[in-house]
Amino acid sequence: MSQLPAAVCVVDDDPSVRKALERLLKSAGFEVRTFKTAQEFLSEPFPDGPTCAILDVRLPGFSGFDVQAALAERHANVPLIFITGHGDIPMTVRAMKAGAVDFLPKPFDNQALLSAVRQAIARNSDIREQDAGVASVRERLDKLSPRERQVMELVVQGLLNKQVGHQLGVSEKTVKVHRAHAMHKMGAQSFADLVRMAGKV
Amino acid sequence: MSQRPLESDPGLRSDFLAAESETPDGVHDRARLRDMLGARLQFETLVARLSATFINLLPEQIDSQIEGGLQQVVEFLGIDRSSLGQFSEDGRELRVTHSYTMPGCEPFPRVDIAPLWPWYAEQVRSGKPMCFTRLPEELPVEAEREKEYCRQTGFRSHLALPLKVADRIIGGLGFGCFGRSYQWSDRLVANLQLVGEIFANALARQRADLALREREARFRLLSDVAPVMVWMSGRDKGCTYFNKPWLAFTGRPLASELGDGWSEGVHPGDLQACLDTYVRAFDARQEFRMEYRLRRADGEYSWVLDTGVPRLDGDGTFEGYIGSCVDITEQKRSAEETQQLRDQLARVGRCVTLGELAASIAHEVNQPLCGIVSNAQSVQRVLGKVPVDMTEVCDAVGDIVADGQRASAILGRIRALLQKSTAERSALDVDEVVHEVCRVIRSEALRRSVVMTLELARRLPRVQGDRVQLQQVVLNLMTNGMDAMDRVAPEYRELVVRSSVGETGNVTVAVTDVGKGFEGQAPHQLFKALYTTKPDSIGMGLAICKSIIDSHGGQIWASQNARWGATFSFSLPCIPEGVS
Repeated sequence: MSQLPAAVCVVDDDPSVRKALERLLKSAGFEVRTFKTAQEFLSEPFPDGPTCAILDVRLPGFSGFDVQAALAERHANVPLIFITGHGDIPMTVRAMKAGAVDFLPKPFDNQALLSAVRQAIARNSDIREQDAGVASVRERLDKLSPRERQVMELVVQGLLNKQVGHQLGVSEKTVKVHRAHAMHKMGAQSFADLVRMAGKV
Repeated sequence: MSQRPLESDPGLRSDFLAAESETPDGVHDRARLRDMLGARLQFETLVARLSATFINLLPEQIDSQIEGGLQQVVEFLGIDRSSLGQFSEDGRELRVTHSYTMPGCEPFPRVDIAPLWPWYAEQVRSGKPMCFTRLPEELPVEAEREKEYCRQTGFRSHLALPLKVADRIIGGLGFGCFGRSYQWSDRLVANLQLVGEIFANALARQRADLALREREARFRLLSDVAPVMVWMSGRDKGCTYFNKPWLAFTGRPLASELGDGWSEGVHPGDLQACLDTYVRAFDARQEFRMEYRLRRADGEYSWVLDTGVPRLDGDGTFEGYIGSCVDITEQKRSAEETQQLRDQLARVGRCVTLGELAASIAHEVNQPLCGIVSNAQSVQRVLGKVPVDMTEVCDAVGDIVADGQRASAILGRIRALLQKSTAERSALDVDEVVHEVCRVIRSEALRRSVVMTLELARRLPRVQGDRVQLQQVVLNLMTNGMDAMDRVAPEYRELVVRSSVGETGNVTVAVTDVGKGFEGQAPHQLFKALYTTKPDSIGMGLAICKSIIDSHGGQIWASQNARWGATFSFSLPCIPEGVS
């Protein structure tokens, strides 16, 4: 679990809406950053901790969908919640298909919005965790010697030590040694652990 | 010797009057001489009295006075008759117009004597006096008819003198006797010539007066059948004449209208301006035109157009004014109706435009509503937690109030554009109008990714106009500009609004876009009704704009930009300095 506080980005050109959202989110314990335009939002570095963004579909210059596309292009991990004064069904469908967490009409219900935010933050945290997990596995993998790596790859495929030795042209005993080293370097508590880690990368 | 009454002795009288040509030595009788001089004096007194009388005569008294004068002369001289004849206008006829004949004697015939006595008439015409003591012997051979007349009637003596007015022979004055010779002495002839002059002058005056009356009668006839109302005023500005159509219109008698009486019929609201215009023009001897309401015979007021010009007599002396009035009620009503229709059309156009803007207006109102709902829910939540954070509550409630007012203001602007009230003209700052429109259209521009740039001159002179209608024009031009840029890449969409003052004192507003331009259409075609390039548009927008600008006395036009897009501009006249 991340130690950093959850930060919500609010992107809306209307000051009344920004203020109301800020009040609501702060009272729910979130850190809030507000932006008038999509450009402003995209030009600043995203928060380090778990985050999501609430944006109006209609923004000066950029539309909410443009933001969605920009984020996808950057492989940025910021879940989006759309709010809008004049949404219609095609718009909603489009937004959801592009991966939005939710699509709320204005005026929105506070509870509905908070619920969407929590859902978005949770999704974001999960992904972060996942990302973090993958990163650490990769780190450890890099520390394996080429032989240890080879052994690990074959072993997690389900080959017996004997078969691995046969494939690599080494003795079964050598395989057992490499396997033990790999398990230790990877920090796997059990064979099943090792398989799981391997599955992440 | 006593003063014998001279009237009883005609022969003596003529002798006395003839005495001038004879030396006093030829008269032996002292008493006779005294009588002769006395008679001369008496006759000269008669002539002097005639002269005095005729000076002050009114034209209608002349005829009877001439006849009276002839009678006095006939009786005094003891002759038988005296006649005055005048030529007709064309000079062909000669007729006796005045005469006195002693009772029992034959009067001068009253027919045209030119065919009757051609020689005689010719003599008169050529201005030759005739003096005959013995007729018919003294007549020349060619005077056949005249001789015949004398033989038949016993006409014996005759004196004929030409009557002249400014070297023109207008007729003749004749004196005659039957059955006896009469001596026409030089002195007598001289005196009778004087009498002739007196009569001739009087007749000339009579003719002039007659000619004047005829002209006036002709004028009145013409003026009474004319379809316009005619009036005249004298040098003191008071009115001296109104024709029948005027009197029929107002239903008042002439006496009530003369002088300043006519102004009682002018509508009180127009009276001051009417009098000011009249007096100002009058003092400057200028022509004037003015419109005012005049009360009709039925009590209702009608608009009239009154035109007056100074009138001069033959010498160029200023006599007063003459003018005419035409009833322009119909025109005024038409003009009012037309303006009303224009205003209605403009309003319909506004409704259509606002309908097109409905989506963005709804969005704009939704923003503060969103704030209100969310903040109210937040307050509910805060109130539910103990202890209540009152600062938070107050803040939130403050925001609710502000957002409510904001929504109200947005709707207020929309409502103003939809109002039904009749067009009102006031002094406007065009820059303000542009700003107001930008507030309304901001939301739509945002939606369409159009950047609005304002390049407004500061401190523009004011124009006289209807705020709502001018807002409509600017709104229309700006939405058209945005429509034209639909196909332009969003990052390039720019609408520029410029205001400026021209040299001729006009304020000009120009709206420039970077859209598709005119696509081959001539600029003036764009302002025609029902012209449109948009599939779901009626095409009245620009035509309505033109109608509004026209009724404000301005111009509207369009031009293609050098690189991309078009510029639509309109100009309005400024309120002149010093006018409130």
